[in-house]
Amino acid sequence: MWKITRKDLRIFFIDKKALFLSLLLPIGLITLFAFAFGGVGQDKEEAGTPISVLYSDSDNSASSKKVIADLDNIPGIECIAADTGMAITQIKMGDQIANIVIHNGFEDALNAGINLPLELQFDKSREMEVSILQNLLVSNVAAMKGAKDADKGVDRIMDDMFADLPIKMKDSIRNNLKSGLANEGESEQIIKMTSLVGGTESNWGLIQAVAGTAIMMLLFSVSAIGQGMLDEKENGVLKKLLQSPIMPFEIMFGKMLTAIIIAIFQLSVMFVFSWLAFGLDIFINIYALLIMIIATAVACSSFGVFLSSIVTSKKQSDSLGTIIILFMSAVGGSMIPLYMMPSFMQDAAVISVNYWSIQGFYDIFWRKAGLDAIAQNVVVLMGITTGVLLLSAYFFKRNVLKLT
Amino acid sequence: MLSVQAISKSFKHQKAVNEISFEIQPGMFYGLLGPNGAGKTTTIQIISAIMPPDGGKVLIAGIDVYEQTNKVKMHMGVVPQEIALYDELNALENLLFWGSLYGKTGSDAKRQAAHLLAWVGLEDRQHDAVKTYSGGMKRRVNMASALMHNPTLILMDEPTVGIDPQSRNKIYELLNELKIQGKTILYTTHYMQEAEQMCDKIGIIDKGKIIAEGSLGELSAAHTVADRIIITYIGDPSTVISGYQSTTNIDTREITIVIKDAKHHLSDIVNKCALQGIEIHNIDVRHAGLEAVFLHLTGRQLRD
Repeated sequence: MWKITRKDLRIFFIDKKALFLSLLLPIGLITLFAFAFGGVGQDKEEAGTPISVLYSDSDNSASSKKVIADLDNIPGIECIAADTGMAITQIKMGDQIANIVIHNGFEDALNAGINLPLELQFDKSREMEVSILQNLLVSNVAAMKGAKDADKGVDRIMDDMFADLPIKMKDSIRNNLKSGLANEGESEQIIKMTSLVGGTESNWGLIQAVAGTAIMMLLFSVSAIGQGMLDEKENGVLKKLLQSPIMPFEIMFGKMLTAIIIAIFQLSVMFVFSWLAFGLDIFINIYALLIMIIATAVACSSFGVFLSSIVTSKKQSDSLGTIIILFMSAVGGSMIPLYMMPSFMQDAAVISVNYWSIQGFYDIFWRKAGLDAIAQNVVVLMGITTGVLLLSAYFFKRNVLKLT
Repeated sequence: MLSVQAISKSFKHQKAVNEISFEIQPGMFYGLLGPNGAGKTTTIQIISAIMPPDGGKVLIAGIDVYEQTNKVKMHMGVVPQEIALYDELNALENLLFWGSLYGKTGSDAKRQAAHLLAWVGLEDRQHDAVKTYSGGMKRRVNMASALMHNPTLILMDEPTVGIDPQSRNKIYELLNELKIQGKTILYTTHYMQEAEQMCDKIGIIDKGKIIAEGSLGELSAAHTVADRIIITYIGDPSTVISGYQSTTNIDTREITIVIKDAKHHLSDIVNKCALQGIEIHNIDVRHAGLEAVFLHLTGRQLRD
């Protein structure tokens, strides 16, 4: 098997110009997407998907309940009660985007017209959804706070300056003034914003660009290596390989080993480039990163072999491979960040290698999680690899080894 | 050395090989001659253990190739019809790779590769990528790559297809050297001349069956066939030569006389042409060979 791999690696690295171009293309795309995704969410005002938000109401007052109820009544927003500790864990794991923390004394502060003990804990990578949530929350709370402040101010004015007016008239003026004042916006910051995931030193757009693009380009690279089997079939080399004393599956696994080595090389170059060019901290958890690179390389390589085994000619492989890779990349979040997709597409993303790899890299770079956090991604990627390899072996025997 | 016993193979109910049997003794150069689609390549694939037959068996040195496949493969070298080389690699790298599959590595492999490259006359170009070679050069490397492990049995599937006469002659020289070395060779071809010149024994294959087998002499004797005299003439297109049964092609102005022992009739034919005022442009005498045997056996020409 290693003989096949060594020969394929020699062929891959022999054409320096092709090698350079094969690295240049993903680097170019990463650069492009890094700039593009860097600004995602800043100018957006609405989300196309329902947003679920956790809340921890320690105040448990009528006012705090009203804040949550008003928010929950907005179409597309779903409020879920949660323990603060649990909420923080879920946000850090990427399972939830934000937690509204209403601390004790919220209603008292509202009545007193002082700073509200209200906090929004969030995942910065979900910038657009958090921004929408923040606007809605500020708007609701400001209306309540404004109403309370207006009530007190108007009462004081009416009592001081119009004490002699008839009660009916005073009430009418009072109501008009309260209504008008309550509708005025609140410009001061009334919510404490606490980002739980991602700091200023990280750039989620860059992570999205690097991980998403690198994996998509990797799929194209490994699929081209897998196609080598079809080339060999068409030019008679496969037949000659079979006539030699090696096992037929050594040919398939030899190709896969080549693809794994080249994939690890390509991913490593992409991350080193991102470190040098954009300052992506690849040393934040180097062991987790290496494991994730290897798991991604193995999963993508098995996919490349699979693509080549399900077809009977290189032309078929070219067309089908492009369609499947683009589809998987689109669904899996390589092209567009997942949170921008409808929920059914986000659910469908789990079928793709891209999803598990990208989320793994997010865990490492954004959530700064350790090996335990990427364990699930690695296990799923290995599961995909096993399944895909079993199918590949079946189709390899049926399609590639079939001599006529 | 090689015993092929009633092998058959069908593809979608069409018999590509139909109970073929033949024996090749050690050191014999055996030619399997037949037109395209006769079943030559399928036979080679069955013998080389990559296509199990529907029936029959293949023994090499008494060992069934489908029972001890890898053991048998170690003694067998296959020169395929296709140029089965890696274009991006140079000739030396190709040879070392193919040798490595047979356990030939290190200095031993390098020595053998150097020897074979010199043998095929490509030592000067050994470091150039194969994609820069001519068709004939590629064919020679293709042949050398099958000999890296010094096999005792060599299967060659039309190794001279699609190359110029000069390169073909070079390959004939190499084949003769292999023959002198005592290699056992199974050689498929649809070129009669190759079979006539090189083979100790010839099996004529058509539509998946061996229809005749023997040395050239044995085949000619067994299938009493006539020579052909082809006269190209100038003048009246409807010319016939009296006293001889002939066919005339008025488009090409060719008269073909099929006759046994042509050389005894040649002077008489020339005289008759002179008497009849037929102006002869060219006379070509084609002796009965495998072409005639094939024609006799099948009613078709080998190139059809």
